[in-house]
Amino acid sequence: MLTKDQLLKPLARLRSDEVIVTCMGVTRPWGRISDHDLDFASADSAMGHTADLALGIALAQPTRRVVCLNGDGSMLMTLGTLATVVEAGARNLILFVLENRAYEITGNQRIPGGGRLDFAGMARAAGFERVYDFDDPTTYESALPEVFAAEGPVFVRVRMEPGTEGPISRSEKEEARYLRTSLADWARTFRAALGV
Amino acid sequence: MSTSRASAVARLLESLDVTHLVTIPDNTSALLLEALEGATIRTLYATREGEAVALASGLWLGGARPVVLIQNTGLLESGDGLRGAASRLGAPLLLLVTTRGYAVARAAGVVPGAAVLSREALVRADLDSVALMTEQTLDAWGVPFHRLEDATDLSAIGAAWERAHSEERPVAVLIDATFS
Repeated sequence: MLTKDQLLKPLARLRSDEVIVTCMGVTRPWGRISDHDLDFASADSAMGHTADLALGIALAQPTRRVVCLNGDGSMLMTLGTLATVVEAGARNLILFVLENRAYEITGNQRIPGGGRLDFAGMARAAGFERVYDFDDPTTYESALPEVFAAEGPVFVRVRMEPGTEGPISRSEKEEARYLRTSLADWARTFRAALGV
Repeated sequence: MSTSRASAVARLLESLDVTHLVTIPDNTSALLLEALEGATIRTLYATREGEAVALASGLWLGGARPVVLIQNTGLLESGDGLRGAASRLGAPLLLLVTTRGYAVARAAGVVPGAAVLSREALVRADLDSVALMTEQTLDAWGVPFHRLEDATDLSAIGAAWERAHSEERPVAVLIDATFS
């Protein structure tokens, strides 16, 4: 299993002008190591809809790679999105499901089927042709350039160590710049960075 | 929706430079979806209405000009997507909402937008309860709406589009199913 640092630091080293969409338990950790206008935190947002937002961005920006760091609890709320992503043919979308088997920021309550669900299998069954499944940091880090270069839609399941992030606010109390403003204000920043 | 009316709606959406229409298809929208085949607007099929709204919100974040086409039953499902994605982002989404149950309600002497949500009303077999709570739900969620009640007058769509963009919020058009 990977820690958040083991997941995110290799990603940050590889990232150039990709859009990175974060969700729940990785929102703060990503904001600590990245300060980019093309980061987007699906926080103080709609439950379970992070991948939908990322899919929309990817379809609107077909020449730019979009990386979605979704949680397993979030993915479970909208499994139909797996079918929609494939149907829409989002070739520039990399959809991670970070499997910590819990709703971390609300107190690590266990998700239904936690530890038993096969998200990689679900992705394959939905029609994803590129599916990666990582359980150790060394394999993950060495494969990440290939993941970034693959034609999408790409699905990546990563087994994660349990985390301890608490509820996320959008306020000055937060360290990450993309959490220190409202969702609407950050949308302006994000769209400006895309030039739209 | 007649074929000619559906074509007129498709042309109107093209004239507004709409780029994507996100939908869950059904019998009330079939003709419009058919009319959009060959149009410059890309149709995207979602699996649930909350997903459709969030997907459209993402499209707007990325610089596209999407609209959402759903039935009022699905509108009720879309609540958190509409609240947490579209409204919180200030996304100017046009929601085209077909209105199941409106004609039946009126035939029974009930005005959908003014219905009292009593137990008696909600369990009546001759009423479709979704018609009784569509407009009240939009009010509760802070989503303005316009009514499209005349098949020959599509101005509600343009007005809602303009309002969504000037006020930076989702705005709905209730398309009366009796015209379908």
